[in-house]
Amino acid sequence: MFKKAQVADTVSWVIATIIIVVMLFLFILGSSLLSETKKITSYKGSIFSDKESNFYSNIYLSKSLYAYHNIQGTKNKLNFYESIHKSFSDDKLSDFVKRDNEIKKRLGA
Amino acid sequence: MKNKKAEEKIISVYWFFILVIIAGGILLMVNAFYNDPYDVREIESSILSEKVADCISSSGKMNPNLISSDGIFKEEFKDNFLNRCSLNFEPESKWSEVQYYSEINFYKYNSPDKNVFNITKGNLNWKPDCDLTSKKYKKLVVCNKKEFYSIDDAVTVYIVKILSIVRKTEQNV
Repeated sequence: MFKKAQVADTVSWVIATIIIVVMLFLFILGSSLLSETKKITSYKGSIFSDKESNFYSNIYLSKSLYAYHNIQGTKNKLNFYESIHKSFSDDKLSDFVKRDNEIKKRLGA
Repeated sequence: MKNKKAEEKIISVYWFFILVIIAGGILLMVNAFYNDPYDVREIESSILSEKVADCISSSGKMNPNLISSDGIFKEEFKDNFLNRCSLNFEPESKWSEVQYYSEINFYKYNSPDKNVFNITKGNLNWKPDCDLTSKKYKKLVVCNKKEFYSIDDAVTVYIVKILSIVRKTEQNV
């Protein structure tokens, strides 16, 4: 009777050890998988800014919008605006309009 | 009484063994995570593209050093592109080959299929790696493609397409 209790006790310790080892193995696997995703794809304008900058995606839009506001001729301008809008369709429409208004203001248009 | 003492000893040895396993596991986890370098090539290629775009066009107008008022592209700018744009593609001591490639193609807005001028600098060997889609080769180079519109003095609209490539695989992967 006493021996049976001892065996049961040992089995539970062995199972507990196996669980601990398996969990550790999973965590190690997880951390090594996570280490492969250590990519820096965006940056903060300064260490004090709370928002990550989307400066890179918009610099090309700004240049294109500046070009648009600098050309003459209403017909060309209209087609050109559509082309810019199409090229930067990944950007949110609200961002596009906001940036366009900002540039208009700067140029006094 | 004697049996209980022996049992306690065995259990404390077991706990010590478990402690060593967990500590070893944590060490392995930290090592696995922090041993791999941060891959900053994506942001590096973005910075390169942005620098090139700033050099080519400012406030929507083409750099007057690049294109004359008659709409003729200047070969001198192409030849001295790196100096003109304050770029340095010289390999660091770690590498013998240039780790960057930059290509700028200009198309007229009215005929977007016809390349009117192009500038290429850096190591051309990295360009074919951009087309490799297999996961195995994905880490070879990081390519950044951007395009925008710009005008010259004669108000001709150009489409400017920039391709920036950064290799530096050993340092980032």
